[in-house]
Amino acid sequence: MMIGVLLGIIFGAIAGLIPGLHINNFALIFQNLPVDFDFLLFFILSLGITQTFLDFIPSIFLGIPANETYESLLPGHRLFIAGQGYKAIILTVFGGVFALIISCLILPFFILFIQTYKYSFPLIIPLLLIFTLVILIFKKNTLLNFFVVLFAGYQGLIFPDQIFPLICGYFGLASIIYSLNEKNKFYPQSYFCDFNFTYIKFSLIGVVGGLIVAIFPAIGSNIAASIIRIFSNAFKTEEYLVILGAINTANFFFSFFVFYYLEKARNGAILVLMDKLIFTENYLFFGLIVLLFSGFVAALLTILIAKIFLTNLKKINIYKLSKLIILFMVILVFLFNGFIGLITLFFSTILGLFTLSKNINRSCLMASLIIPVLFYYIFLFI
Amino acid sequence: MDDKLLAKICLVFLLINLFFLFFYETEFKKLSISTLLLNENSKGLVFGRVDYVIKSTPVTIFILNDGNKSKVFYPSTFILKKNDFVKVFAKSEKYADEMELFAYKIVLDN
Repeated sequence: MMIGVLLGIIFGAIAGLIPGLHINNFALIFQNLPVDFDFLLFFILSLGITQTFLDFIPSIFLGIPANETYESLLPGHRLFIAGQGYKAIILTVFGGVFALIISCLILPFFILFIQTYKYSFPLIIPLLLIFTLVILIFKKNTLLNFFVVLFAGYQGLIFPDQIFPLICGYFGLASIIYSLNEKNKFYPQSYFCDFNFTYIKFSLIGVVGGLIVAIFPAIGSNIAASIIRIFSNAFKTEEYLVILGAINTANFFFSFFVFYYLEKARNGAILVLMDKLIFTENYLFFGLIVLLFSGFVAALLTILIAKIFLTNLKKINIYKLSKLIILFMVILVFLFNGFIGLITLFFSTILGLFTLSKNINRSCLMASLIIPVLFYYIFLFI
Repeated sequence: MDDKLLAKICLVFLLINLFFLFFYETEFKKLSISTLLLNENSKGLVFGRVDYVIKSTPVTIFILNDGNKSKVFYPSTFILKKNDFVKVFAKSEKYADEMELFAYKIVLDN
């Protein structure tokens, strides 16, 4: 069993650090190997929870987004420019660590809640999504917001299953291309990292977000973070990063218990266990222990790897690195999504650059995910 | 609060959970029917052949044979045929003064 846990942590770290790689890829490989159920369960749990921590490193240090953490790109980059990239990572780790502790404490209430209200969940989501779209459009620049929402929603509908190229284009490539005029700009980084312990309340907000994501189908961490981001004027950059770290970790944590009690998988890695899980209290308890153990190991790993990254960052020419990252993203999109992915990337980059040049609220680009999900629920009720 | 204090908090919780992990034992060890039926409520993984299917829906009841025979109850539909080889994650239970097996999961092993 410990071998499964340790391998899960290693592969989770690899999946988190290499953009484009996902825990689903490793989960699918391992499910076809002749391994015991115990090994597979603990491997997948430690794999998933580890990635939620390490995912932020490429987002914040290199500007390469992942499906679940691209919301961290802008606030993370803001701190990176201010020489506080390391602090940005630590804030996400703080969010994740206290998300684990808080989630553990509220777990009995969560289980009671999902068992009592499981039949009313599908009714709430469409209302929440419509509310989000309305808020997005009616911020400043309403007309431009409306057009971006329309085009982004259209892209989400005509390019289904192309989330990675979409977010790479909107938030990754667009930002990097836009900043290419900052030739050889080096942002000295500091190891200093001091923040308020009261940030724990933002971890709690993130736990609520992660909880919502774990319960409601088709709502990912990115949408939950975007809904929170609409109200982000209420949060400072540091506070928002804590929330993001917490949402990501809490989402995976609760998804195991949603799977156990409702027999519904909310992510690909847990789905692998669908036909294999034996529902006993023993597996539930040790599943919880493995999630906690792996999460805290992953948190320590993230702090260590962030330090190593930072030490070597000085040796890197940011302008050259930016061009390399552009090339890397294009190659990744092609490898994982093929020619359709490249076409998606092209159009999403154009829209991303447009929003940057017109100073439009980039949360509007989230319509590419929200509108398809809304259609899913509309068809569910028809 | 700083990164060092955060790392110390992680270390403390990590060690607490590591302590609990050492108590883990495989819940379903490979056992024979005769060993499993010796004690009530003992759990194990049994490999055997389906001798006879009594019922397939809405619950599944069949006779499992691994050299010894036992009636197996599974609380859901599972389509089995005579002579199918199966893996059963089972617990021994007393029912009407007879020891039988309750299946948590059945996996076809053909």
